[in-house]
Amino acid sequence: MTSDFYSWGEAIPASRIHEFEAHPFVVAAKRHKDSTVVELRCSGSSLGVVIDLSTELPQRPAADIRDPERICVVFHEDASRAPDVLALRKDFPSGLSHLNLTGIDEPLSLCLFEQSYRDLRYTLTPTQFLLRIFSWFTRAALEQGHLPDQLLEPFLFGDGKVIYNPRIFDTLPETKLFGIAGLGDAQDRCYKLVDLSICNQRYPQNGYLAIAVSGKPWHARTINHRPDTLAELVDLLKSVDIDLLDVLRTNIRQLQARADYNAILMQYRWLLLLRLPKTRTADGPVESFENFTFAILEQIGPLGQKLGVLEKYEDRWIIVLNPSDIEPALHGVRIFIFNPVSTLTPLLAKSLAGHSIDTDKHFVTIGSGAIGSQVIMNLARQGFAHWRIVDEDILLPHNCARHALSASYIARPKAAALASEICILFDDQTVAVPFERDILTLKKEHSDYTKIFDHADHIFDFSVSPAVSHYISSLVENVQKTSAFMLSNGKYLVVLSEGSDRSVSLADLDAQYPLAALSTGCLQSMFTNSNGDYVRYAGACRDISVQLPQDIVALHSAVATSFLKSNMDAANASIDVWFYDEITQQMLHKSIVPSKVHVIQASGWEVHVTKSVILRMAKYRKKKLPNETGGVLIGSFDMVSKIIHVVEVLPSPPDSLEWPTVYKRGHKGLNEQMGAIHRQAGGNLGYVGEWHSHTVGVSVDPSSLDEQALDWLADEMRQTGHPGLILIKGDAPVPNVILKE
Amino acid sequence: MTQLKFYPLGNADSTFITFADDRLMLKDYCQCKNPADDSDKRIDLASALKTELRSKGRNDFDVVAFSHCDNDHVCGAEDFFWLDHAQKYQSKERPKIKFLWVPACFILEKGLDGSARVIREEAKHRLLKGSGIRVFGNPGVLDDWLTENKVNPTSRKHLITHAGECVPGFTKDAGSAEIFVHSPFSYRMEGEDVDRNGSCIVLHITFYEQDIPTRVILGADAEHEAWCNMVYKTEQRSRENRLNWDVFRISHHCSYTALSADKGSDITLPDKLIAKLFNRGSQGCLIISSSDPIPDKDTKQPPHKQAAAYYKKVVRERVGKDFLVTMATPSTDSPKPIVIDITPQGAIFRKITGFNVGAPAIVSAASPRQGR
Repeated sequence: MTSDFYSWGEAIPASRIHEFEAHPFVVAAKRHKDSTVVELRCSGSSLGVVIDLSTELPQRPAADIRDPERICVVFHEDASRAPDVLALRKDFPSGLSHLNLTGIDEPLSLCLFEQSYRDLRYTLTPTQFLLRIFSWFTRAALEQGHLPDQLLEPFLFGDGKVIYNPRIFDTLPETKLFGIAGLGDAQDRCYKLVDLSICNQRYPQNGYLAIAVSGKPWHARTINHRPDTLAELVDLLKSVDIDLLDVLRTNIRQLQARADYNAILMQYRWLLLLRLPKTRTADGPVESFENFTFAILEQIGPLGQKLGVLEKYEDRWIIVLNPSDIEPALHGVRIFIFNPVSTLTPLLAKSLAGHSIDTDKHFVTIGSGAIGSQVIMNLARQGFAHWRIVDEDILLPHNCARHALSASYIARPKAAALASEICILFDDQTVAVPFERDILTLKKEHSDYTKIFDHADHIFDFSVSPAVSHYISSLVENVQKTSAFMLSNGKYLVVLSEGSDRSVSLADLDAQYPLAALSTGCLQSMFTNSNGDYVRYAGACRDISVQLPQDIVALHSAVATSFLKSNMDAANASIDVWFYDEITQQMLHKSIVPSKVHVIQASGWEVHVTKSVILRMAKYRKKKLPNETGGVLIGSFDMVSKIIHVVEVLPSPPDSLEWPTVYKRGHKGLNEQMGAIHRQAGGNLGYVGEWHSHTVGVSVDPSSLDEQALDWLADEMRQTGHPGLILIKGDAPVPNVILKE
Repeated sequence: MTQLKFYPLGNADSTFITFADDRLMLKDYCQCKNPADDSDKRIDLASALKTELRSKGRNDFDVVAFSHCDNDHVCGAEDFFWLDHAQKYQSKERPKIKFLWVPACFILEKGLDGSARVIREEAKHRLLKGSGIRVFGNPGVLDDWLTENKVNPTSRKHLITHAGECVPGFTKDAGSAEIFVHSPFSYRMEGEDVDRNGSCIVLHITFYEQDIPTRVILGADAEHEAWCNMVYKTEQRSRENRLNWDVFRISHHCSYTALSADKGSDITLPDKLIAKLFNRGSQGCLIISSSDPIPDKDTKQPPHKQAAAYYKKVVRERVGKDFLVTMATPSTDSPKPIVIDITPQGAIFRKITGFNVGAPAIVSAASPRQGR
């Protein structure tokens, strides 16, 4: 009589349980109300515990899981090896996921653990182990073999690994030459599939010709035993609608067109790359593709003979035009299964990073210094794969102290080296393009302009240069820009973002952010060093003399990366500053709301007055009506673009004369106040002009007194090469501007 | 995920339902555990529900339904819920009720005391206010009562659901569930002496998971005459699909009176129409009795072993796995809430507890007395 169950090992008396380390599991299984220990069995030094489990099943199980299910839990002498859990029922459904591969006529083995059992066993109790088994059956019955957040499992498992680029499937079925060296006996090693047509390498002795084929979508596991011979592989692939014999014969015939035909047939073998679309449920959508690699361990020529498509005539191979229908003898042709390992594709990188941001965006980066290089590589490693990298510098030895590039790139242009790193990362030469040039010399009419900025979605300025921020503000008008840089003391990270509405330009943001240093709290020291002394702006990490450890740069880079990702699609402009607290090792964040800017043309200059300045002037004016009032303007000059940024306004000094028709600014305390502002803002903010109000109902056109005052101011300012600027605030919302060089 | 929890409360009811759209319904409430008695295995329902709500980040129920006003369905409600009608029932920790469901006779019944009286007052308050309530059945006496209280009965019609209708707000697309009302019938609630059990709320809920229906009957305390009436009316109106079921929370704590007037010696043979109802159970069906453990001997009070014998037979014939008794699951020594998940593969009784070492279930209940 045949049994309904597989048998494992020999039965042993229950009294022998204490000989085995697994006896706590037996106790737990006996104690659990839904499990019944049937018997103990033994094979060599392994113990088998046969149990009937009263499984937890839904009313209409998705798979033929029964109540009870008989299992055998096999504990090995090596306790660090995961116990095998065998489903003993001979008609146990074989098409389920999470089954380990076993031999023909052997019970199916449940795959219970995602984690390494070696580690898990230190915390897993025997009862929890039992519950895992219960849970396996329930999930199978609920068609939840794969939890919603779990990637679908591989179809087959091999021993060695072949690293391949999935884009191979974009170009195949055309056969290609790939090199895999030294298979021999070392089949547990890891190999990289090299497309010889691209890298122009010498053909190796043990080369392979790759054939790519796709199968039908796969839901339930259809194959539970691994093939060892070509005959078994042919049978196996029939279950996914692939006629492998036909595939091999067709490809062998196609080789005839090659000049090196005879050599290839003797030196090369076939490597079969199989792609199967996978679904989570029977009618579910294709969620992923599973790729497999089978090496057929016989040269193509002799194999073709066995397949009946080749005959050898002296030293030459001849195609048989009408091969016989005789079933080829393929049981002697051994195959080897490699675990295919995909190169890191942008999609895989995004999936591993676990974010849902659109990675199809095209980025232009300017500056590849310490922060820039690390942010670029951080983003690339998360799947962002459209880069145009602009930098004129080369990598010098001291850069390597704080740069994403390794010393192997020393003396190479940073842009090219970084682009190369990204291309290598994704095994794709198209993902990053370097431009070794100074952005400040680029004009719209240059051919590089189009190459760099066409179809760009975002420009990242990592140049640590206000000149660049200001230059690209006017150079590229229709692309969102973000500037990220560390201040020279290494404690502060600043990110200026235009926002998608680009209502405040990068140049204006750059002019406004030093205002943060005038506020209270930790930002007061933005531009000072540990002694409280003023640190000059820029230079930053490019300056060989700056002392700044890589851990801090990495911290700033990580924060910048994270912020750029989350802020990429923000509509509004923003100014964000992070402060590194050395005592707590924390990054403290301050967000400053930038003010929109009113642009006024005057005598060949653009005066950019922030709305907050205008509001402040209106407030001071209202307070002093019917008298006039005034004060000084704070900001900065962009002498290249002829722009004056007015970002702050000071009220009237106490010794000023304020009458209904006249205003004369005093100076009490003003020099000290200006000095403090200049110093605190790291020299980025200073005096840019005067302002005063006109009383109610009076025009903001300059009076004769105003014109005399402008003459005086222009004379004074000429000493530093700046124009004289006066804003006149009246009833109208926008002040009048008078300017004289 | 849609989930039903049946709490071990002895011969008393409370079912907590989480709908697919995260709406929460509690059908009946009975805080009957004696905290001073360690041998009392009934659950501390108030604590259990608060734990449930906390885990869901809530302190309110979308629906609280009282099937009728017997103490084993309302006991202690006034100490647990936030009630709108009086300030003394309003403190921060009390869960609020968005919609209160009661049979019409609950509102009309006179001479109530204790918890039932307080809930009746709450129901009256909400009905007069015209919001936060659904009334099941519409006897003429309800209209009279509304008129006496200066409310036009027509203005409250939208708050009333009749037997044979589905409750508004729950559809295949809203909550992935249809709630069909089998009882109460309005005509049974006319007059002074209303039969509470015969006029209780009996619901047939069709849950949809991936479009696949799983049907659950929540039987309250309906007696055999009421059941016969429900089956008869449902068949008469060709709504037989509302008699099909996958999970049946049987009525009246496994009393034979829910099946027949005759207990029988070994097995209660149900009235013909009731037998037809139980024959409509699906393969692999589940029957749940909210009761004390089934006794071995003949007893006067439910649960009755003869009725249990019939239910077990139904389950056996339908290759059903379980006739579950709230006070005996998983064991009489330590009963735990019966958890039923609704899946595309039907209902699944969750008998295997998880293996979360960090927060074992033990920490969500009080420990027994310790020390000297």
